[in-house]
Amino acid sequence: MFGYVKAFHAELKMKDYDIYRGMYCSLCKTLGRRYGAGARMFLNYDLSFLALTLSAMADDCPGFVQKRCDFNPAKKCRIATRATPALDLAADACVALTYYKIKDTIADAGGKKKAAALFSLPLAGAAFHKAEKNNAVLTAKVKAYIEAQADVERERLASIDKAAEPSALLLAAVFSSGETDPAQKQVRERFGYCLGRWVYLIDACDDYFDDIKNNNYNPYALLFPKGTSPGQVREKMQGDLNQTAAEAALAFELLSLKRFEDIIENVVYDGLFHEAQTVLNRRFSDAEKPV
Amino acid sequence: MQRNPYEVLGIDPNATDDQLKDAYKRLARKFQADEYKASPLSEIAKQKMRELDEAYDAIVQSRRTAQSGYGGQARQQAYSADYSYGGAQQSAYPDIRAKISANRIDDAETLLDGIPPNMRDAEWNYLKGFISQQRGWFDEAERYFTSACEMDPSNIEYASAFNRVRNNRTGGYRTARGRGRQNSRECSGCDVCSGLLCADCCCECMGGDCISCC
Repeated sequence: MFGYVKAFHAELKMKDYDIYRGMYCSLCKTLGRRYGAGARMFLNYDLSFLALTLSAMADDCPGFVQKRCDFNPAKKCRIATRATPALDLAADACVALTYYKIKDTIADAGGKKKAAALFSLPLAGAAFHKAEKNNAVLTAKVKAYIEAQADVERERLASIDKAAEPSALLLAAVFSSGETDPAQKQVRERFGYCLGRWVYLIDACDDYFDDIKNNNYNPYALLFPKGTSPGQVREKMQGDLNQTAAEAALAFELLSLKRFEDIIENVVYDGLFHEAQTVLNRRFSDAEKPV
Repeated sequence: MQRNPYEVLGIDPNATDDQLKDAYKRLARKFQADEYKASPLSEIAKQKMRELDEAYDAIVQSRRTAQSGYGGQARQQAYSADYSYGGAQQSAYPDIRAKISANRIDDAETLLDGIPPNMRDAEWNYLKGFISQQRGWFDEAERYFTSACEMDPSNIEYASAFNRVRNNRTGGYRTARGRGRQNSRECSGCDVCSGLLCADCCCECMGGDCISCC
């Protein structure tokens, strides 16, 4: 379920791109500092967007200094000058989510994927153990989300709304943590809710054909069983994704952002839309034949 | 807690009147009341709009007194007007609507679910959709709004909720509120012809001709 919330580079200004990359590299560095070098392979764009948004709403935010990338010395990257609560929280969330994702892969998948997951499990497990100490509140929330998601899958709910609810509620809680103003908290919760729902939905869209083949749970597979015309499925998916992104955009307009507004606007208005197009184009290009 | 009006508008105190007006328009588009109609954030949007209006009025007022003969216009009423669709409507469920506007969503839903299925009319569907929308259950919301519109196509309130959802589903939200810079100007067949006609007029002024027949 990772790597869908991204900026749309074509519309991003260079100065904003530098900040966007900088946040990504800073999160990588934070993961290394808090959880050891191995944990840096859990880095992904979704959590770097979380770090970016939380930094944009924080009272202060450090600048970046230019350093060399530890993994690719030919590449320069910008690193935040000091640790921030936003980066720390994103790193904790990253470790906790990745740990459960790896466990999920081991339970569901087979072959190479399962082997890779088994290989990284000890590392993720150790990191998760550390995350439980660092931020017990957050790991408890992630645990509750995983359990709620498992319930949805066990009951094989056909409702898209109910299937997306656990991840929506998780992001609502993560985005609103630490906010004291009740009105702003509500806006942040709505923003997180819509974003979490969007991430769940696009993941379900991405896995639709595989889940049908393997008879795995997917709300879209229950709604559109084998044999539905791909055009009809695609239209529904695209509508659901856009509708959710539109509500996220409405909440975004009310967020009190102290900086980085253009970057977040780019992600919310262009990034989500284009990512949805990319995923659906990829999945439906060779599926013009009936499922 | 009164914030500095210039801070609310996000501009420098030395900004020109035009910059002030632009900032006002840009922010007013963000908080348009009708966009938030079925959103749980509608009260917050209204509050932000009020703050913005007050800040703008305060600045205009202070500038007027500072320099007599200031020709600034009062803000455009269109943005700050509270939208009310189709005037005062006769509602069959006034108590349920009251609960919804008091943010008691669960109570409202309990009352709605208590209405027997054979008596569920267009407004019932609309209110159900409204509640789903508030909860973030957009899939259900779309279905209820669609049924409400099918049952009573002439109702403006239901139609506007339905149209907003339709528009969002096709990606229309991206050009709303002055966002979406990506809509590039395309050159259509009309643009080509009108361009040629313009060129022809210019040529004729200068004594030449580019399209001989006109």
